[in-house]
Formats: sequence, C-alpha cells, structure tokens
Amino acid sequence: MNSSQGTAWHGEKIPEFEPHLIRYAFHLLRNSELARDAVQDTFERFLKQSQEKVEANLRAWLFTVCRNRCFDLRKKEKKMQPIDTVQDKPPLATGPSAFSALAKKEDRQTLRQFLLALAEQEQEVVRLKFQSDCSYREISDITGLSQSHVGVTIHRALTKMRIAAKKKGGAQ
Amino acid sequence: MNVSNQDPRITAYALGEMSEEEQQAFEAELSVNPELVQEIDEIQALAAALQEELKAEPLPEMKSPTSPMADVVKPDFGTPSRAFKPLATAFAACLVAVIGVRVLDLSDTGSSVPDLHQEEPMVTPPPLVSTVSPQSKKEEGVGVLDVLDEVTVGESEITGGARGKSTTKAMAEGKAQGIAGVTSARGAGPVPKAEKVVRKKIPASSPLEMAAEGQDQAAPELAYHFKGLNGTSGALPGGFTIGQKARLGKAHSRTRALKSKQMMMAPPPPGEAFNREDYDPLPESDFRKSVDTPLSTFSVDVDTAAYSNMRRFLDQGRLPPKDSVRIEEMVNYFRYNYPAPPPKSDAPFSTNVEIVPCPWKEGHYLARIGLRGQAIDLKNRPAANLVFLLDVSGSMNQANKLPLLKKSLGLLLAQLTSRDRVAIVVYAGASGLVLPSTSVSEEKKILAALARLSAGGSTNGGAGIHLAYDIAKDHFVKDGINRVILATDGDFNVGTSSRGELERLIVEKAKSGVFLSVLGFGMGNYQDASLELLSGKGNGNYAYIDSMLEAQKALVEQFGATMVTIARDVKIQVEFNPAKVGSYRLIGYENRRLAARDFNDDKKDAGEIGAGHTVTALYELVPPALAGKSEVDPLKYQKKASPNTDAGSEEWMTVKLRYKPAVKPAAGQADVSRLLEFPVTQSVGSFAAASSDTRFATAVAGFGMLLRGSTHKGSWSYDSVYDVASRAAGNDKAGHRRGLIELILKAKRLSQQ
Repeated sequence: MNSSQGTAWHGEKIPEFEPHLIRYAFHLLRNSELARDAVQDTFERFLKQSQEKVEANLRAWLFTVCRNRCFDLRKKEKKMQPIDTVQDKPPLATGPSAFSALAKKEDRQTLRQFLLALAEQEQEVVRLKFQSDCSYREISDITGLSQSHVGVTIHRALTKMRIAAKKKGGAQ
Repeated sequence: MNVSNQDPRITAYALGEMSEEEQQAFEAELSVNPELVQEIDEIQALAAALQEELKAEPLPEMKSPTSPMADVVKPDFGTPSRAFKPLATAFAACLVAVIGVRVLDLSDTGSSVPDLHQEEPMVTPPPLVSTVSPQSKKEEGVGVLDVLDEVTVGESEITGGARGKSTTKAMAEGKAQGIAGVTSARGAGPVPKAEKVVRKKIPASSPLEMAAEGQDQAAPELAYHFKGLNGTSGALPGGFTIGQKARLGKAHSRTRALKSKQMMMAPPPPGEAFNREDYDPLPESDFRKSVDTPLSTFSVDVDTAAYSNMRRFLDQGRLPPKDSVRIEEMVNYFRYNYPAPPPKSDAPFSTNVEIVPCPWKEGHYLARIGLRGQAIDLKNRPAANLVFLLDVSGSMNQANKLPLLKKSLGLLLAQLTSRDRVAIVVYAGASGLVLPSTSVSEEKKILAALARLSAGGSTNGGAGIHLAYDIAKDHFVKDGINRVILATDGDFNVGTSSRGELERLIVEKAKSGVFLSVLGFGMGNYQDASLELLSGKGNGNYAYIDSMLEAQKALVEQFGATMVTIARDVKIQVEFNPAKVGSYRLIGYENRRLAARDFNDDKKDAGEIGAGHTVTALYELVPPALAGKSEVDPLKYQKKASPNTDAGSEEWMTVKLRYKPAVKPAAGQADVSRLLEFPVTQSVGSFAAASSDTRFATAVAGFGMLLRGSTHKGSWSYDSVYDVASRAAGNDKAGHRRGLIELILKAKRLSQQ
C-alpha cells in the first residue's frame, strides 16, 4: 500500500466520518450533489495526509477542511439562499425515540422547526455539537469562533429552543 | 427563573464540556441554587432529543425508503458527472449484493452500525457445487465463490447500469484498492449506501423502552452513593436523576479526544494513540515429537470473543489482524452436539474424542476432543446475585457501545426472575453505585437505572472493580450464581491501568468465589488483550458483543453457559502413544498452554466450564512413519524411556482431565481437583465419515489457520473451508453456522486483493 493513497487507518476513518460530514456539508450548502462533492474533496485531501499528522485532531481537521470547501463551493455556485426558500430539506428521521423524554412529549417536527428557526451560525454549531459529537474546543477549531463564544452560542441556541418549546406547550 | 440560568456555564456543565476545576467550582455554586438542577435536566433532555434527531437525519439523497427494492430501482440518474462514490460502500463490501433490512436498530443515537450478519436473510449462499472438488475448482479457475460474484454484479447493474461491474469490483477490492478507487470510480452510478437501510425499532414493548417511560417515578427512589476520585464523598443536591449524577462525577466527556487534541503538536506518549486496538502477539505452536514431549497440557478456554471480533473486521471489509485470531475461541464459539453426561454421573461434563484423517494434509490425522458440560434446568437454577459493572467513560459514547450495552443487559434481565438480585456500578473518571443490589421483582427500577446511564469521562476501571466485588460479596448467595458482569471497551486509562496491577487486583477478587463475565463492546480502542486477561484471571468468560444478535447468543441462548459455572479450573492433559503418534500439534490454545507439571498443581488457575457449555480442542497428529526421529540428543546419564506393553495396544492417546467442583469449599478445607482419564482407541476411516460436529470444528479451525496465515494449512484454501463448513452445517437453527459460511466468502474475497 502506497502511503499517498491512504492506509488501512484512512480506510477505517472514512466510513466513520462520511455520514457526519455529508450531513454537515448539506446543511451548509443545501444541495446534496455539492455536499457530496465537498465531502469527497475532503477525503481526497485526507488520503494525502499522514496518519501521524492528523490523527490527534482528526475530527476537527476533517470538519475544517470540509467547511472551507463548502464555503468555496458556496461562493462559486452562488448558493447563498436564505434557509426558508430552500426546497431541498432533509427528510425527517423515522422511528420513535427510545430514551428521550422530550422527543416523546414534543413532536419531532416541532423540534426540527425550532432548529430551523435558529440563526445560521447557531444551527451550524448545534449540528457540530449534537450531530457530529464535536467538543466545544473542536467546534472552536473548525469555525474559528473562540471557545467561550461557542459555549455562549450553544447556550443561546438551546435556551431559544427551550423557550419556544415552553411557549408551544403553554399554548396547547 | 434565576439570573444564573443566563449563564452559559450551565449548558457547558450539562453537556460535560467543563474541565475538572471549572466543574468543581460550578458544583459549589449549584449546591446553593438547587433550582438549576431542573435547568440542567431540561438541557440534557433537549440535548438528547437533538442528538437523536440529528443523528437519525437521513443523508440528503435518501427519501426514507420504505422497501429496499424501491430504493434500488429508483436511483437518481440525473445526477451531474461528479456523483459521489463513497468509500463506505467499498468497506461494506457485501452491501451491494445485500441491500439488507436492518432488523434491529442498535443505537438510540441512530447512527449506523455496520452489522452485516444480521442481513443474513438476504444473503443466500450460492448453491453448492458439491460435485466439484476443491482441486478441480482451482484448475478451472471457477469456484463456488465466483457464483456469488456474479450475483453481486447482477445486483449492482440494477443501480449503476453498465458501470455496475466496475463498482462491484471496487467494492470487492475492499480497503486497499478501495481507497485508490475513490477517484477511478468517479462517475459510476449511485450506489446503495450502508445507511440505506430500513430502520425498524425494537418493538415498543421491549423492556428497556418501557422503562424509559417509567423512569420518572422510579428514579428518585434510587439510592446513590458517590465517591469522587479524590475519595471525598458528599451529598448531592436533591432531585438529581441517575444519569446526571453519573455525569457529575466527571462530566468531562471525550477526555480522550481532548487529551489527544492537547497533544496535537507533540507526539503522543506511548500507549496514548488516538485510535488503537491492542492484541498480544500470538505465535503459532509447532509440531512436537511424542518421544521427546509425550505430554500436552492446556487449560480449557470457553471465551468466544475472538470470533465476533474477527467477524467485525470482515464485516468492515478487512482481514482481521493475525494476532487477534485465536483459533480455539473461534471453534468454541459454536455449540456441538456431543453426548451429554449421563444424568447421574459424577463428572459434571462428558468427554468425547474422535480421530479422523486430516483433510489438509495427506497421511496426517486430527483428534477432536470435545467436552460437554451438564446442562441445568434453568427453572431450577440457583438464585443469582449479579453486579453489572458498566463502563460509562467517554470512549463508550458510541452507538455500538453504551446503547447496545443497555439493550443487551435488557435481554439478560429478561432471563432473571424475582429470586435474583441485580446491582449496577458504573465507572468513568470516578466510580459510583447507580443501583444498589435490587431484587429483580423490581425490574422497572433496574431498567430505569439502565436507561438513565450516559457516557462521559475517562476510565478508572480499578476503582469500579473494587466496588463491584464488594457489593457482590455483601449479597453473596451461597451455592448461587455470584457474578460480576463487566461491560466495557477495555480501555482503562485512569487509576489502576497497568496490566500487572489489574491482574493482581482481579486475582485477589476472584478468591472471594465471585465469578466474572466480561462483555467487550465497540471498536477503535478495543483492548482485547486486557479483557481476555481479566476474564482469565477472574474465573470468568469473555464474549465480544457487536450486535443484538450476539447479545442474544451470549446472554439468552447460552445463559446457562455464561452464568452458571459447573466446573472450575478445568485442565486437559493428553499423553500420546509414540507407537501411534509420531508428532502432534495442538491447534489454537496458544495462550492457554500449561507446563506438564501444572496439570497436577491445584494452585494453577485454568478455565471454567458453564452449564451446557461445549469445549472443543483439535490436535493434528502425524504417524510415526512421517514424523521423523527424535530431535533431542540421547541423554548421557539416563536411559531413554522405552515403550512399555501399553504402547503396543491400539490406544492413540490418553486424555486426562482435572477440574474442581463449581462451589468452592468452605474456608479451611482444601480446594482439591478431581481427575478423569479416557484412553482413545477408535478412529474413523475417512474425513467424510466423521461426525458433522468434527467436520465443522475442523472447518472453523482451518478458517482460523488461513486467517492467521498458518504455515500448517497444507492444501487448504478458503474454497475447501467453505466446502467442508457448508456440508457440515447440519441443524443450524440459530443461524450461527451459516454466519460462518458467509464470513468465509468475505474473507476469500478480501484475501484475493
């Protein structure tokens, strides 16, 4: 195996991160073709990295590369649409929730509405945190926000969602 | 509500994003603001819901397929030239052919777990071309396996049209070329992805989910003792629920990742690499001359982890690391129908030996030694006192770890009755008792405690082990099942973590008469070696759980074998008759070997046999004519041992067994072993005439030898293994043997690249 083509280690990491990166890129680009392109470009760059160089910080590295690529593509394709005009919304996940009380009480649709009502940056950070399991520190590395800014953003986003949930609960 | 609910620290705290110092400071503030506990609760509930929702979010292209086929026939051909050809598909090699229905959703987080063997209904092994011998297959270049390749091609043609063929090739090429293929495969049509599966939740009546509903009433009643790493214990603000308390101990989740990040620029210290799996080197044993070493001694091994671990690798599209393949564990993964011991027999197990011609080496023979433990009637089994010792450290925070663990233990709980007791101890940065020993009549309470567990922190296994054994001893049931069930990925990285220390700790604890079961979970930093060692030293057994199917096997089908020990320290010693056996080789058991003198030494630890367990060992035997002369120089001062009259008999060998009864004698009385002896005379004329159990065990061992790249594999190839295994599968209700046959096909394809 030639190292420039990736090692078994690379091979193991790609399927692990691929769905996360695709969802993330899709969130940024709102276009599944472009999102997949961005992720593919990310992996192409990834395969050229040596394991020692990126291993310690892999999650942040992959998301950062993917994010940059997404912004490049966004410029190129002029795909900067506001979120509500986008048709290409990801479908709702199916299946009942097993462990979370909130998802039982609250309709999933509602949860998603709350999520989409957040500011773009809040959404991005929330996704990185809860969809891709990034730590505050990793999110800080990826987005360039300071770590405390990340903390404030997530706090604000969750607070908004909780207030919205309470209002809705109260109205019913 | 309160000024400080504006404080972003509350979210950071709830999400486990604080450093230890921050956390301590914040907890001090919390104790004067008990209303914030509610806030934390809410944030965590929202976080869990978000996590679940976002992780279950289908990949953009997918339109929530209702049937797998619908997905196959409706690919989006209108995609621009750069359609993505994900590498994941190459790794999930067989998925193209399989596009399976994932029956069980293993994760409450919803991320996809490669769990291909569950898709078995879709993989119809090709019809056996049984008239073609392995030899002629090779010559013609068309093997049974090629039939399956054709099937695969056919399937992908549906999706990718003419390009399907190259797609298939890329996939079949697996990891190595699959990576290079990322560019070359561009432009291929859309390919069904690993995520494209129909998700079906476990029916809502599953005990665990019901518990999640009932947890609100149950949880506050649960006692909780908390002990920090520094040994201080303190009362926590009231109203905390279990999950949060567990987190309070060390809310610093993903410590490992964080640590690695901090070391980003510096090379990681030894043993701290981000992703590592650890296997001890396992050199294969060679032939021994019966004249030089007439005795072969080893401890039984009833672990099965190496098999499921090997399967995990193959399912991911890689050949397993050679040292991870322990042939005896692969062979012992399967149940064999050896005759049960007669109901009134003294010995708790039966012994059964079969000698057959060796299929991979002309002129050689195989001896298969099979033990079968007395089965017990589960209705009349002794009461159980179980302590679940659960790893909830950050490294367990993956779909195929903690969520699978919770569901697996749900299965186990369903086997218990109101006579039994269960306690739950968790360990992460600190360890704590989540559920004191509770009668199973209060099952809801137990399930609720399980459902509440969440992962975070580093792993201090040692402290947890102490606590778990203490609880097991406090509730010791005389003549009952007293067992600590350790569920972990084995990545102990805080506190007692050196192997030597862990070993001493567990040896000490095992003296209490409490047995140990180790359930291994997950991958990436899976520490196989530590876990095997722990189970070995702790009078225990060891299984690797990678799916609900595996949990079902280890905890339900083989409940008796896993839980009820019927014989301790079981050792086998075989004396070969040099007149019949020139040299011999024990297949597998490399790290279970004992010195000949250890056989009679009751202080030497050995393996345990569970109720209904079968244990199988295979020897490859070489007749004296082919074995050659002694390799040792004649002795100067002693006469060389010469054959006596027994050597002239028809006996090939004598199998001797030593075991101790399951129940330890009271203190002060000697813990003495008993001896059984069986001379073996019979042999079977041809391999084909051997029992299907022997043939199947031989196929498994041969498969293991191929995976290990053994120098002793003789004429055998994956084709021959496939041939023997598929003919010997016999009555395979649970489908485990069919599972092996699929793995052989996968390994063959991977090995051809």
